[in-house]
Amino acid sequence: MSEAEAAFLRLVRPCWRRLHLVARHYARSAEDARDLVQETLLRGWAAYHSGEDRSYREGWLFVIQRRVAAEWARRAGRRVRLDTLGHDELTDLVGTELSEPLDALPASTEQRFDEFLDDDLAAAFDALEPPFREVVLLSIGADLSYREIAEVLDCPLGTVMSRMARARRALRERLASVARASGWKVGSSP
Amino acid sequence: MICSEARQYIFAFLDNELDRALTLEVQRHIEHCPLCARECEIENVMRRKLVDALRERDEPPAFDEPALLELVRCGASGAGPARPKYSRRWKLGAAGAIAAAVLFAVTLFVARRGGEPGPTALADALAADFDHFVTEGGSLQIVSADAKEVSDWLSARTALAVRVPTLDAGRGTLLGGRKCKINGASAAFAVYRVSGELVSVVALQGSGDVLASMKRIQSDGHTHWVDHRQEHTVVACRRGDLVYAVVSRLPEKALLPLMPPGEN
Repeated sequence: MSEAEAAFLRLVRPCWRRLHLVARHYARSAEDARDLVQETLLRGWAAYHSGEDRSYREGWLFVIQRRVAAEWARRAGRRVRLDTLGHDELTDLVGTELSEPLDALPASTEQRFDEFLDDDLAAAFDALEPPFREVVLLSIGADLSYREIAEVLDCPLGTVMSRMARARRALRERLASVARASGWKVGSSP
Repeated sequence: MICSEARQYIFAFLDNELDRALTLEVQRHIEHCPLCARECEIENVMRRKLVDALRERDEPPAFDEPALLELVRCGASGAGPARPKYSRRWKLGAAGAIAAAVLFAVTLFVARRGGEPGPTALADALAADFDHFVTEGGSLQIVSADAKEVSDWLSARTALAVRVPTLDAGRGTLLGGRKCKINGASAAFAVYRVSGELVSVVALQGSGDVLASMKRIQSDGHTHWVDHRQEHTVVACRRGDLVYAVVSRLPEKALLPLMPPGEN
């Protein structure tokens, strides 16, 4: 194995699981997600090998992955979905000012609150608007910094911060809504 | 800082994305505001649970280095009518299987002999990383005194099966951890305060070869390696496929309790 090949694979290894996690968000099936990761790695290697992009920070592969997903979405939208809403549209989705109090969650014991989250948090996350889901996934799932996310999404850092705050608020709103619908007493937090 | 201001920064604060000044301001507000402290705690729990929930999703295929190497080589050469799909209908002919086995053996050999931090380079790199941490003001990505919480956080972010030590009461306090790189390799960094001094415990992938030039010592039936430098002491051991190294300005004797039982 050449030094370049070994170095590239050393770069890929810690990102492997996270690349698949994010690819699964873009792709319509697990198999398409794996193909997306495969294409990402091929392009990543082409850039690395040619010396085209020498800033091999962790987010770099995720930038490539999103670029590939965007191309596939334009060419044949069946395999991937990439919802790109404008900043104003996202603001309308969570119109609350970011300085306002967060939605209250069920008043309960700590254990019951834990159980509530175990049951409903994943579903609330899945129900988020795709751009909100994406930014949370890139941060919490892929463990990218806001700066890296800004590169992936090709938007300013401030937009990432604002979108992240709105996404987490949206998640909180959904959970509060699920709690109310389930008959939980929503009031002061546990 | 008032509550409405703190609320704007709460998520970035939990994600360790604020600059030092703003982090301290938010931290000070939370320390004095029970309501915001509670909200912060709730969001922290939600964040942790979301990490777990996302990790439990579709299991990706195992990281198959020989197959990936084959993939990038075919991709680089543009060989064949279509790129091989490692995820579907992946079949290797007999010759391909033998080539892959040979390649894998060579890869293992190279991984053991090359591509790892050199023995002297490791102690240098560890000491430099420790100094960098101290002089930059000690920025941690997870702040917790719970060894399991810190270990799980580091394991999730470095793909290393890290277990940071739990100190007996009175011996010292775990402050938290961060991921870092030692000689370009992903590493897990935890920091303690022991006798008023900072002590780092770093875990990284490596064979025992990287410890070869350090002084080997026996203590309570366990083997450790030591490097006494001008301003630091570095004590290290192997544990499975990881090397654990403790770095501090404290003497060797004070650092031994932080070593996990090593292999002989």
